[in-house]
Amino acid sequence: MTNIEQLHKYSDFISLKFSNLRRGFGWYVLIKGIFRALSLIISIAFLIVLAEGFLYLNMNIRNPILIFFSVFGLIFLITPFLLSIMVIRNRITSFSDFRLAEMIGKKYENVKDSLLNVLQLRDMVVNGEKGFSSALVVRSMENIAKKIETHSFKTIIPRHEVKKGFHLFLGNVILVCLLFAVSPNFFSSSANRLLHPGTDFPIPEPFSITSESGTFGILGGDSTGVVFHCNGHFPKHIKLFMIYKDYVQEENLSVDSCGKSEFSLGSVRKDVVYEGFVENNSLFIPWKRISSGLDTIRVTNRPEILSVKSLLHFPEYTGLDDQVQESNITEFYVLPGTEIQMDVFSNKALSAGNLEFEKAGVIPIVVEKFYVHGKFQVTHDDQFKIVIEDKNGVSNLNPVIYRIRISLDAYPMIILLSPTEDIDLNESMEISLGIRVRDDYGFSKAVIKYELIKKYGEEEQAENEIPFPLYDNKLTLQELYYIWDVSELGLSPEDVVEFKVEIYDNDIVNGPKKTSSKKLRARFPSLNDLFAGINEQQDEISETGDEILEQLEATKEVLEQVSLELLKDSSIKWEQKAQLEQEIKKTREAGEKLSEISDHLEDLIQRAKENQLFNKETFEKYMQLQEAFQDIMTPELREAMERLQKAIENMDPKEIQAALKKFRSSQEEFSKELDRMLKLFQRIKIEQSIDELVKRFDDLAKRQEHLNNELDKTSSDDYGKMSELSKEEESIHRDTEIAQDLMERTENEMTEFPLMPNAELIKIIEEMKDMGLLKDLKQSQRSLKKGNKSKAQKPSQQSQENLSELFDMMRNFRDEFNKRNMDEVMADFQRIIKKTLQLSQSQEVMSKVVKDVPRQSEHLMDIAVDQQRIYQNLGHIVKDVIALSNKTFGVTPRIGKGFGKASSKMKNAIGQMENRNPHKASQEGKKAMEALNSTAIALMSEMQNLQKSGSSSGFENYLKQLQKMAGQQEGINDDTQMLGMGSPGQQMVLQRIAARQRQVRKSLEQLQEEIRESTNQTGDLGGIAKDMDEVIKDLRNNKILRRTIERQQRILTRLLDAQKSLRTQSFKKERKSKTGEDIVRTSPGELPKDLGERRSLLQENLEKAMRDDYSREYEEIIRHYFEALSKEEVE
Amino acid sequence: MKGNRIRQFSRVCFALALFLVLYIAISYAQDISTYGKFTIARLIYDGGGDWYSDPSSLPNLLKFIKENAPIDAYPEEIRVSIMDNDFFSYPYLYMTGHGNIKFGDEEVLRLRRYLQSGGFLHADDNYGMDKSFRREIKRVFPNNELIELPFNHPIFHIFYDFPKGLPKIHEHDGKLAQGFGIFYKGRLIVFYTYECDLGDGWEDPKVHGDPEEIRQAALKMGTNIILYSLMK
Repeated sequence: MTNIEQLHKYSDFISLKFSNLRRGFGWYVLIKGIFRALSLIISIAFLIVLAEGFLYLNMNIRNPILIFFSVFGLIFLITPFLLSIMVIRNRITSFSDFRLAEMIGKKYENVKDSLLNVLQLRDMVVNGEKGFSSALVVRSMENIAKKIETHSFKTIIPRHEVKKGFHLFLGNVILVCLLFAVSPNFFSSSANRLLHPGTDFPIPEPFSITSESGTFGILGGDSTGVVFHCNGHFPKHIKLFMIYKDYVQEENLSVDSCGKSEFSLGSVRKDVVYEGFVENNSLFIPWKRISSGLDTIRVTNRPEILSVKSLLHFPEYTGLDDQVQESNITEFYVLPGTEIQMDVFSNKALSAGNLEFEKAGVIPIVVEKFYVHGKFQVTHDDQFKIVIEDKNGVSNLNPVIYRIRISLDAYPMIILLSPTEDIDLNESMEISLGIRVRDDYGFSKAVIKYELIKKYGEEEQAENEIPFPLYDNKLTLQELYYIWDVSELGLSPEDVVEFKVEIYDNDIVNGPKKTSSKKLRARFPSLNDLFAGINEQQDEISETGDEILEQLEATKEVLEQVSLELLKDSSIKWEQKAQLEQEIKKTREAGEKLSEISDHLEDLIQRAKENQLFNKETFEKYMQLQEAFQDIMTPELREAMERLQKAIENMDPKEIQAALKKFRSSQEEFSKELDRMLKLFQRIKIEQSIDELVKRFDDLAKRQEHLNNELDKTSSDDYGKMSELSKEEESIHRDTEIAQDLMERTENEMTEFPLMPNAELIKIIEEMKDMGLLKDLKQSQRSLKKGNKSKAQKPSQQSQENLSELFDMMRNFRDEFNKRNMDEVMADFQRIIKKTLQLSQSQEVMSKVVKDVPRQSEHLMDIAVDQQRIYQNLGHIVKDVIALSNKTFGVTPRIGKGFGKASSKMKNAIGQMENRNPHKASQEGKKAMEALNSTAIALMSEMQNLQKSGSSSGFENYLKQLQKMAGQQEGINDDTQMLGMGSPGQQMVLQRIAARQRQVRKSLEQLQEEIRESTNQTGDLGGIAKDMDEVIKDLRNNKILRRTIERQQRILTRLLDAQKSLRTQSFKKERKSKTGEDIVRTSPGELPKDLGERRSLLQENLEKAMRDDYSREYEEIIRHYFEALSKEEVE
Repeated sequence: MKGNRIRQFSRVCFALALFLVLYIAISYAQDISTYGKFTIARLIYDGGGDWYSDPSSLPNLLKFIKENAPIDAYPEEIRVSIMDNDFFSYPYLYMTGHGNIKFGDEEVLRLRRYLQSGGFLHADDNYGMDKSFRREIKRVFPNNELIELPFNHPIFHIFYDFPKGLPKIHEHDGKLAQGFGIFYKGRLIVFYTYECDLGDGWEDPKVHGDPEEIRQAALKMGTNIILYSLMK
């Protein structure tokens, strides 16, 4: 055999061995695979049955499962067979020769790798590979064949794996059987279902849920409920599922013991699909959801109000604009009388609608498809709702309640600005009223309500009223002024007008409401009252003046004493110093008191002016006196006091003495001047008393006449009227007694002035007593009281005649008195002027003579003596001037200075003569003569002024001129205004008016010049002239503009005021100003926090609060609060 | 020849035209000389009082302000009544006098409106107007008090320093110089100088013969008042 044959022999042998082994492995794979497949099939089958048992799978699921299971089961079973065949046929690499050789080599020690190597060699030979010996390969194969010949190699087949597989299969079978045995029904039924995949097996449910309400319909907005009933083994809770159009809702419902469960749905407006159910999430329970099924609640919509627009139309008188209120506001705060229009828009076409009021009933409203509208007028609080119906008669559900609240028109408010307290009427008989009124909507009228309270009559029951003009009824806040002329009311002295102002608002719905101001009284003071006040003031002035004089006398004595002491011992002691300081202080105080006197006089003059108590001359004198009192404290005196004060501080004896001398001299002058003023005051007082008497008797006579007239008209039976007249007669009697007392007092005062005609006054008093006037008056009064008209008439008539006679007598006496005064003053002036001129002439002669006298001549001394005599005569004249100055204000300081200068020059002339200096003496004498001449001219000028004015004063002339101009201006103004209304021939007339105005302008210019010359003042006349120029310009240009009229009014006012200014400050002698002394003092306290605006702020805040929309009750509270705050401030 | 005449005529016309233009310009310049400058309006009032007193006072004060303070002042005073149309054109009002003051009812309302709308009033008692001024200003502001200003108030320190308050210029009744004010919504609208007589202090030196330091004090205080009114 060749090597190849041997090789093949041995190769076949090995291959056969391998085939056998492979066959064994094939059986192994097959059996093991079958066991495993069966295990898997049983496990899967079990799981499927289990799942079916729990899940109750749908037949659509069971079918595929079964198919799937079957297919895979087959596959699992077939696979081992296929694998086995493939192993046997050496189709699997894991069982290839080499793999087997490897396995054999591992198992058998004596084989190891040699079989593997031989196989490799064999393949190499077969493949024809070179490089090795084939004999060697054969020999190797021979060796290995020998080795493996005895072995079957089946031991390398892992038979334990088969066992394992068997055990697994057996285990599965036992397990399944055991589990099956636990719940055979469960598994059998489950298996049964699986085996019948086409059959539907229903899931058994433990309970059922039934909807008892089912599907039903309701109206929109209605409330409803759903009910379920559970049967069987039902749970404690079920769920309710509701599906709305745009959302879903789930609720948990409890189930009662009967299986009932219900749920309420409130206000259903849309369709709802609902369902009651229970869900199961447990794996062990086959049923997942038990439901009642879906049911529907069908909603039929009600009509709904989608929008409401309210138009409020307020009463006309409020002036308020219409207001639109939106639908979200359901409260109306309106005034009574307001009309409210409602416009409503609905979601459905409507057939009817109403406004249903709680109190006012039902008001139908107009329907227009989707719209309804209606209107009503509000008169009281109420509430209403809007009810609408659709075509099916379905109405809206729960209509909104609209509330109407009446907001009442508030009461108006009034504050009386002026007067603020009771007043006395003056001669003008006017009451200047100022009011401040406020209302929320305006006013209808304002009236002054008044009652006359007669002194001697019954109070009038009826209240009278006159209108108070309103500026604009619609203005809700106004400050108004009105001058009420009460002269028409027929007031008698001591009568009272009690008045108040009432304001009415413009509420035409409920009627205008009114508010009154506080009541005040205006009293018409009697002449007695007026004069009593004046006399009281005069007495006070006299007393104060006397006190000051006394004080000055005491001061004079102290100063004299100190002066003497200083002469003895020039060093000033502390006590003396204190005394002097004390006297300086007292003098200063005296000056202050005099200032007070001046103020009192000013008040007195003002009062007298208002009530026209004095005549013009008396006024003038009082005013001059008042000015004089202001200026008594001369700058020289003040200077002297200061100088003395400084000297005392410096403790310089010489200075003190000099200052003391000066002070004494000034103080003396001061005292003299005061004495003079007081004497003048006494004289003026007497004049005033006489004036007063004239007025009193005039008044008494008129009152008596009036009483007589009333008595004639009164019937004897009218006891009331008679009683009234009796009281009046009593008053006349009392006033007559007062007049008599005044006459006696005046007569007594006149005795201090020897030249006064008190004898004539005594005569009048005697005559009065002889008349038996008081007796007649008394008798008349008694008769009237008894109601005896006839008895009263005669004495009453007699009294009237007597009083008239007395009036005439007093008037004549007064005129005579004034004339005599004037004559006396004129005579004094003339006498003084004559003497002055004579003296001047003598002085002139003297001056000429002395000029030519030689220095050493003896004749010079004789001339000096003559000069001395002239000097003494001058002293006499000065005394006369001083006496004259006690009677009139016409003795001006200029005159005094003139005489003073003349005196001084005369003394100098004497001195020069004594020094034998004739030339200088002549010069001095000449100067003295010039001074006398200028003084005489001044005296003549003053005299002329007094004569011109017809009184002892000098201003009357100017006043008269101004008065005349004022009258002319008034005429021009009236004519211009009339022209403004358009009259024919206007141009010509305008030119004439312009010419008249020019004339007045010229007069004014002249007056200006005169006044400037005499007083160096022009007053307001410059301003008036300017206005006149403008008016003339307008008139020339044929224009009557509003400004022209206004200017003319202004001119007239200023002309009238200029008269006042002439009386007052404009014509004061040039004011002497004195530089002030800075006195160190502490600052006033810090500014108050409210900066003095508290009342203003209160008022503003009150008005602001009133503008806010508070209710009436709140407004009242607010008003009271602010009033309390204001009062607190005042207190 | 003819040409010469025409040329001459043209020259004359040109000169006339130029003159006219200049004249108008100067007039206009004079009219607008007050424009933009501070002026004091002296109040003309009724009642008889001498509203025109101290005639040289305001021009002197205005001159002093122009020279010493940062205000361009017009050197002449303006005189105005409450009812004048241009009353509201003047922010600073001055009133003085010795006598009676009386405002008409409409004047009361107008003056109140003026002051509440930003105007300022300096009332200077020239000695004698105290009683009537207090009466009348009470009608204008019935709910506001005249309160005395403390020394530390800015009006005494705004430009010149017055640590002791108002300087005493002239003696009236031997009382202390006091400055009173009325406030409206926190703003000083009325300043009333009493027992002081600033107006006298502003007059020409020869009128009262006051020491120069007194005059200067018055002018400085006047400057303070004006500056305060403009700046507050």
